[in-house]
Amino acid sequence: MSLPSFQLHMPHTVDQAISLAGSLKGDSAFVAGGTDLLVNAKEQLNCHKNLISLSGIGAMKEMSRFSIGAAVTIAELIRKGEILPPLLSKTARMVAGPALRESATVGGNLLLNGRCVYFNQSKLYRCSHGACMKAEGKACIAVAQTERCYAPFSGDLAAAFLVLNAEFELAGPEGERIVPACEFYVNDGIHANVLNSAELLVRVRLSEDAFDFNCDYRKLRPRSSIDFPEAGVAVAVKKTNERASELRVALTALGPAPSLAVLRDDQLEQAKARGLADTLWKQLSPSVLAVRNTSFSPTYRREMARLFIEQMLESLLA
Amino acid sequence: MSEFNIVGKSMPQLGSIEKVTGKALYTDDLQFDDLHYALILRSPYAHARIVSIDTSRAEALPGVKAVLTGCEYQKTFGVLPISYDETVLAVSKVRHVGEGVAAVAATTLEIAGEALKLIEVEYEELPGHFDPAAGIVPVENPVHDHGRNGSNIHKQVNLSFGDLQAAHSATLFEVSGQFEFPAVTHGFLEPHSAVARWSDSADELTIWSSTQVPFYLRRQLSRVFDLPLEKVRVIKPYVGGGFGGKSDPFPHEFVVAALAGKVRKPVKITFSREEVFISHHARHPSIIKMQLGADREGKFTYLDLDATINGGAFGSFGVVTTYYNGVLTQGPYRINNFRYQGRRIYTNLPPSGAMRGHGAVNTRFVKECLIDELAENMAIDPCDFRLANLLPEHTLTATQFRITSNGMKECIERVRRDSQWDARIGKLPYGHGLGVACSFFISGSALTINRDDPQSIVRTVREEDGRFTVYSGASDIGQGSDTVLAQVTAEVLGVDLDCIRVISADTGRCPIDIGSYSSRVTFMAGNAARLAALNLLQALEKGTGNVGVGEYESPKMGGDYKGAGAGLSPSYSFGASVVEVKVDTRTGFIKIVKVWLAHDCGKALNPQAVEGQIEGSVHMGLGQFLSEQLQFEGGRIANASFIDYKMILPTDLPEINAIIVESNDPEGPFGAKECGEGALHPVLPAAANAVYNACGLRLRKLPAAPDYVLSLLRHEHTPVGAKKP
Repeated sequence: MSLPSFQLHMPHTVDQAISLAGSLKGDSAFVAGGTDLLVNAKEQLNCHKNLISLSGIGAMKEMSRFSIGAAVTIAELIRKGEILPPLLSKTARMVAGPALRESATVGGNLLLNGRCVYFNQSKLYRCSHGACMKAEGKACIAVAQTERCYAPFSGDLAAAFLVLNAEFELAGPEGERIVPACEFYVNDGIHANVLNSAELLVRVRLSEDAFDFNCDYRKLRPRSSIDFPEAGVAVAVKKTNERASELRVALTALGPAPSLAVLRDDQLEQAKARGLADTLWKQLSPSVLAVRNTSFSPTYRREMARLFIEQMLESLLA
Repeated sequence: MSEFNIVGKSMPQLGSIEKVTGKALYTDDLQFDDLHYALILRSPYAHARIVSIDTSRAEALPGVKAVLTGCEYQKTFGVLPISYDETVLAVSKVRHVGEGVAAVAATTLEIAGEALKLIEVEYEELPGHFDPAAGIVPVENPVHDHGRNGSNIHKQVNLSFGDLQAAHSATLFEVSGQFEFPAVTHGFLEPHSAVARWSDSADELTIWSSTQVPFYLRRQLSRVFDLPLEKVRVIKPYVGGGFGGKSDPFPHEFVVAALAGKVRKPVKITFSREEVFISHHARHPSIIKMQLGADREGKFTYLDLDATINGGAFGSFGVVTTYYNGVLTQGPYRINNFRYQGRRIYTNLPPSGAMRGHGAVNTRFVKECLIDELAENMAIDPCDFRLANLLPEHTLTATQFRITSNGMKECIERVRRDSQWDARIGKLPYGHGLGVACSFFISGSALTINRDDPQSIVRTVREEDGRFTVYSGASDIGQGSDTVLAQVTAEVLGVDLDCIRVISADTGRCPIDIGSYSSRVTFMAGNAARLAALNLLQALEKGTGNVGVGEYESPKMGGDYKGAGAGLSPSYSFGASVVEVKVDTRTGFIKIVKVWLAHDCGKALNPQAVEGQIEGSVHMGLGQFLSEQLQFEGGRIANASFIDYKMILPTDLPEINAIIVESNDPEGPFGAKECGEGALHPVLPAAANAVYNACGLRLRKLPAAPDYVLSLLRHEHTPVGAKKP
């Protein structure tokens, strides 16, 4: 099985990359590790005539305590993880497997194309079954009579950055802008984030605040490596004077967008009475759009996410 | 001190350095001048008539050198003479999604891909047959015209031994159950690949193929292309695993041969992983019902077994599979009253076939799980219960299989001791358990598929430098058969291993061996190699020549009932496994903590290779137990990739304690018998029995995925006697 032919462009700066994307008038995609995009391209899914490689842009591979370039590989994030909040390298270790992590990048994981058993299929399968709206077809196959695509966003790192209150630095023809992680994603499997055409995720920024949390990430997957999450839960707890003052919980892989719930101060105290996990789950559940389009049933995925929240809170608050 | 110099000593397999350094050439690596590339256009329909095929636009595409359709070669082929039911490409109708409809050869792979898009096929869709149970009665538009009385039944087996009625009256304890198993794949790394080239005179065909059965392939190529056998040469380069998925002649091998004939240039095809999933001949999905009884002394009274297996669109090894589901279930126990009713049903799924542990893995699972239930009901330790019911050495089974060497008792005792079974069983906390199960498998079939074929011939020659060359048709598919042949020869001749060169699996240079399947090569080709070396030694001593030939033929044996030859083997392997699990009862995840597996391989010619087979078997068995299944919907495979088909990973594997038991078979070469397939059998039921021991669940289908386990934990009544949380 071979890749469809494409023109590869190798810019050296973010500005060059953006102006290239602008001049190619929409028939281009940015590529970094290629572990998602090229695999799909082999199946003739979302192909582009032009690929703009980010691998020659040094600025996007830089990493410091408060900034992670989008082209930093996930393996690199793990290797230099001690300067970052420990949640990041812990989560990164659960992404794919060791070989893939050497190519796959932080940006690629944050912009992972939604995955669905009806979308991630061969040409033969799509020809036999009919293609879905995210491929070359018109309708969703997983859910009857819907306008929306339910392919779940399956990146692990998004949940970690959400609870760490990260910000995404974007650059595009209109200039730079900073978007908080919690405003970046859109619950639509085809356009799952706010990036405009020719806009590029340049780096992720962290604030000092991110280092004040005790965090954990748990991932539901059939096997203990390689698999994408069927549900991912990140939990962060900030303690002030030995008491929890802020709780942040993020979910991934339970819908086209990851989601975040936050409890602070008074809300937190009130929620304790009702049950923290229940309160958080109630906040999160409107954005959980898990349907039957992955390995495990949607009921099981939701249940496990709910259980993970409970178990992680129990250990982090202990 | 060992009585042997070479046999019985662990050594790396021949070719292993070439493999790990990337120098070994697999079929796809081979270089040819002017090589052309083939691709197959595959049916999007599970069941449809082909109304028309228009290849004119594809033929007109520059770079396309030949286009092939099914009407050009209509002669059927297959592996078993009783089921020649496949054609090179679909002739008038397609029977499964992915069946080949047309093929092209072009100067580049890209052009071949473009050409496929230009072929226009008009289909008239027919209702698909997917439910095997519905195929037992006559149906409209059956998959094939030759099903019994217009049904989709491909093969029906009814066997009965002893007196079931009388056995019922002697029975005090009885268990029964119905179990379901999905299809699973072999998961070899190297996809199917083949290159064909014709001689300039166009009357001789050479094919390089990743195959377990070069001689069967030669025979079928000779039939379909109407060539004398000596005009067809099959060469097997390095093979990256087979496990039964390369043990048939496959359509693509005929496709490249036909295209190469048209182009007059070498033509190659290498499958995508999806094509492997379509073509592999998976383990049959099956529905198995079993009833098992024991008397007041704790002896089995009877075994009543019913299996419906889903054959998919073509025959493959299916007739044998149908028998094996029954007859290989009886051992390693003495059960005199035994009934088996089995049927294989054609459906519009990709064809099922042979896979490691052929035909017996699923029924073995059922039986060993039911034995565990029976032991529980009788309040007997499951190890003791099994020990009390074993077949002895040198006996006949109810089906008149001749048992020779038998290390079963020692296998149970070893896993029992090493797992500290007696100290731990019944004393582990809720969620933590141990389970045990046994195995029984053939060392090759005593009867050959083609009655006139010899089993195995080896020719060994002394070269002018004093070294020796062993010529054998046996296919080394990664299991290490070349190494075994070299070891056996070196041992007999009293020389070092580096004095031996093995040339194998080339029908143009080597005498016949019928193939690497049914765990026959060590026993049969090993015996032929031993005889060849002995004959050479004699010739050298007498000064009468420099060549020794050895031939292995199975002794005459077996009953005289219809089907008596199925499951008949000159020697059987035995084994036992204890599996330790922890079940997370909040999530349903089963963690396999540790596996002990003792296997009686007669004599371990290369202990390291035997341990490798045991470890590989544990991996494959646990995969089928925990997570593997082909998901079909509307005849399509929904998970035809290694990301979606959940083969377990090294990180999922527990510590494996491989224990070799040597019963020294009287007829095996230096006492050896099989180890490549039997070792898989006990792992799955031992794991299931451990899950019961951990949390009181009796699994009735596989895989034991966490959502299924959790649903059982919630809804199933915990059986009496089981541990409570």
